[in-house]
Amino acid sequence: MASRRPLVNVSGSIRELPAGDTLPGVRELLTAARTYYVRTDGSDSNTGLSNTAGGAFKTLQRVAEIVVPIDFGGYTITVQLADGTYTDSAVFTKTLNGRVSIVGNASSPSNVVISTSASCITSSGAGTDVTVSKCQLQSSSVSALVGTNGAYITGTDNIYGVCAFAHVAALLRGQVVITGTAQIIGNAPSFANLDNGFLDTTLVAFTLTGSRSFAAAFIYAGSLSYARVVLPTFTGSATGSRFTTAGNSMINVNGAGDSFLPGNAAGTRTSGGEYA
Amino acid sequence: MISYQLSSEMGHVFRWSDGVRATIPLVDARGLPPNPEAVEYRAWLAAGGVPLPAELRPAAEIAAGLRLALAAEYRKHIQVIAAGYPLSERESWPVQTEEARALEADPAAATPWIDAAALARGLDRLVLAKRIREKDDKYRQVHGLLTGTRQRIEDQIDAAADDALALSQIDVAADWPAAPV
Repeated sequence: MASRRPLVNVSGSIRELPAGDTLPGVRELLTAARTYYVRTDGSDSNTGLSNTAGGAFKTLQRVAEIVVPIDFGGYTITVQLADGTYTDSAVFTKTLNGRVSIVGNASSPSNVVISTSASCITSSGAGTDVTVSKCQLQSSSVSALVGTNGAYITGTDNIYGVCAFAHVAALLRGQVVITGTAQIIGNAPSFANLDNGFLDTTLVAFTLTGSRSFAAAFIYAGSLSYARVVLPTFTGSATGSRFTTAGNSMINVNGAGDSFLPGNAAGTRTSGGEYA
Repeated sequence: MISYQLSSEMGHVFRWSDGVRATIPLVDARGLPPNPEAVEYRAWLAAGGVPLPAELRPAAEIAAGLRLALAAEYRKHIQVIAAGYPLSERESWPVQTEEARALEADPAAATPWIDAAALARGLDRLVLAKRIREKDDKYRQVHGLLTGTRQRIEDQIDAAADDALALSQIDVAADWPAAPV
């Protein structure tokens, strides 16, 4: 049976609710996967549903706002970023009931650059689940990807440029998952900074190009954090401390050894921090 | 060219390719597929590959060792072609070859060494001169091959300069010409 749009009274006539319109106080239920488009020549007053200057959004933040009232119905919302440089950060700060997948350029991730002063993309709130793939990410003040307040954020096949705090950060029960490949082309105090957070880099192929430096530690695990660094490969080298694990945190490299992580200085265990 | 180098720890190994190092974890994790690079490394080992030692010595030290080993290798090969000839006889080779070539060019040439040797061996002096010249031709060819090989390896050592990894991959015993029949 074909799904039907809600019926609404328009000036005394009963009609189906036009596609794209919503009712106040009623969540839109997705009945299929949806794609929003974001382009540097788009506009946040558009619907975001077509890949044209007159249809696409201009900022990722507009997507972060528009998906909040949607009932995902088990479907994923994809956000397709067109080539270009985006300077607005995005904070998915309200709890969502499905996954938002932000996708850059599959064949040339460096064509889609998210270069912000704040963190590029933040996933915040229990259950919020955002993936970011095939983009180049860099932040002049903070981090590229942040998972916080119990949220998930996944980075897949991204390029990480210069970041002022860390390439990825997991805070306050937030979880950062890196999959596929991770190319690091810019420095940061840490690749990952965890504070009561979780990091998973299982089987990731890291590539560090040029002379990379991590002034704090490649992985910095602060209070009550867990970094699962199982079976990744690191191509290239770096300077700086390999790790810091503190405050009863745990970095699990599956027995790969103290000198496994990139860096040229020994890691540090302090205040109950473990590395194994 | 890909090579592997042991690390100071058992849990990972290094793969070198075009001067770039990759760090490969070796300990499998339950419930996960092995690291694909680790699979390649194990196949390489199974095919007879031998990883480089964990820590490379300084380049200058490696180069000095290679030059000593190369000199010994060269002596060994040269000794094969000179085997069976006492030193006193080898010292006479320049005289023998000079007289042999002179005699073949002019049967009236003065050849006191060949005259005496031919008389002692009961050979015609021209026959002996021909034998000496043919042996000399073969000796020069093999000597040239061996010396050229030594010089080629010296060039490799010079080209590697202070690259300890490149130096450690030079095998001074490899690719020498086969022993003369």
